[in-house]
Amino acid sequence: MREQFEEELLDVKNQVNQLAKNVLDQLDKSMDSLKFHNNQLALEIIEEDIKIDNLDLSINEQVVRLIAKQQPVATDLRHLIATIRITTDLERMADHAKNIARVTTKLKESESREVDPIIITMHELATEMLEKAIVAYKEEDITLAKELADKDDEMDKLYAKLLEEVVMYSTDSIEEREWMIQTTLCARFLERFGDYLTNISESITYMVKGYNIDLNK
Amino acid sequence: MLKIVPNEQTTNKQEPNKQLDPIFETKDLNLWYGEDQALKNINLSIDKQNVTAIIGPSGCGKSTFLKTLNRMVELVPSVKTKGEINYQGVNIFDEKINLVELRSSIGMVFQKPNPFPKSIYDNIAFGPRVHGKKNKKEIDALVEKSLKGSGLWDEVKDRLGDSALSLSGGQQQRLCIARTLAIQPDVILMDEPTSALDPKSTLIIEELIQELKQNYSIIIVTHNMQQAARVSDHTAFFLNGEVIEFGQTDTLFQAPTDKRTEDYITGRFG
Repeated sequence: MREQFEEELLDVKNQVNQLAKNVLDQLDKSMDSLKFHNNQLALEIIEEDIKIDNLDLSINEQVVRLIAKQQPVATDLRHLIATIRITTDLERMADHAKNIARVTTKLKESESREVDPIIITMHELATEMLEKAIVAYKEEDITLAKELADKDDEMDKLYAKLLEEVVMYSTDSIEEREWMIQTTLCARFLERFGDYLTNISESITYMVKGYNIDLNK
Repeated sequence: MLKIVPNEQTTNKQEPNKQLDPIFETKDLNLWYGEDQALKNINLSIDKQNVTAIIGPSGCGKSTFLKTLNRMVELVPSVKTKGEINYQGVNIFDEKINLVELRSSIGMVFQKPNPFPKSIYDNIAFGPRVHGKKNKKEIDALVEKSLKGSGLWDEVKDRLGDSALSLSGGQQQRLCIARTLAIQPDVILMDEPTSALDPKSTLIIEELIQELKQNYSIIIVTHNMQQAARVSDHTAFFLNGEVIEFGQTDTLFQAPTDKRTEDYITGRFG
């Protein structure tokens, strides 16, 4: 029984890893679609999101089945509870990648401009945080989890800086204004990405140590 | 309540703790069966009107510990003990202790229901009669109260004269609990009380334990980890005659501090 449980637990962990990689992929593609005004790519991302939803559902069902059948306690139970939390956060992150793709589809080609360097930096930061989260989850490394949560402060500062820029920017061009509004929304989606990653960091800490901490401050 | 360490953490140190109102405090309790040491330096403090679960693999000393609390373990001739068990402030190993009184104050329920081959009524009335009660009305009242206390009254009130052996396994176990209640104890020791019962009877006994703890201190040995998690306020994990970890059940089953506890409750050994 124990071996079977270990195997299933490992399977769950591998699937979470896969889900996180899929989200990372979706995020990168969504930013590419925005940068290069690639409408086709944006539509593919929107379509792909259902696969992420399904993987999230399937992991959750497997976790519920494991809890019902194996009645895990202590670290085993914490792993499964953390998994449910983490996959929910990942699924929402994927929704934000989809939202960025939607922005691409809404913008006309004539409205498309070069993406603000702050947004590019936010994307790089989100990628770095998610990559760290994947390793921290796999290695059960709470130091790395804390490190990635700390990065969220940088994300918040970048977002605040972008908002300042937007407020100060003045233009008579409607197309340009549309671009500013839509890309500011994208910055907001990336900022939320950082919040979800902080949640994931908290879940990893709970999974390993058994206590809840609030890093989202 | 068993205040073991601050912050409601469990502990693997068994230092005697200041209790508000402990029913039992053991101090450096050691026990040997002949040359074999079965309990090693047990320092536990168990509170009144709480359910304390004792868990651990077979042969870890948990049943021995339970039977030591009312000195029933001494029925084994080769037993030797050292240390103290203070029961309501009095060391039960003191030579002035009256064993009959001690055991009537600390009742016990066993793994297999063991009703006497007598009527339901006589099973309950037996203890009080042995303890000198003769008044029929008084005994009638005690039988009713005890059967109500064990949740069996409604099922048997119209057939108190029937043989106890006609009851189902779960009912027989509740009869044994009622028999224990009839001698009006303060403590009920339970040695795997549901391991011979079906799931429904188990659930009824577990619910009963929750009700009984309002008035009694309950110490339960169980192999069923989920049962310990469900019914107890505090849990002690025994291994090779030692207490490895002791604390709030919630904490012990969510985030135990000792690796050995973790390994045992998650089924990695034992």
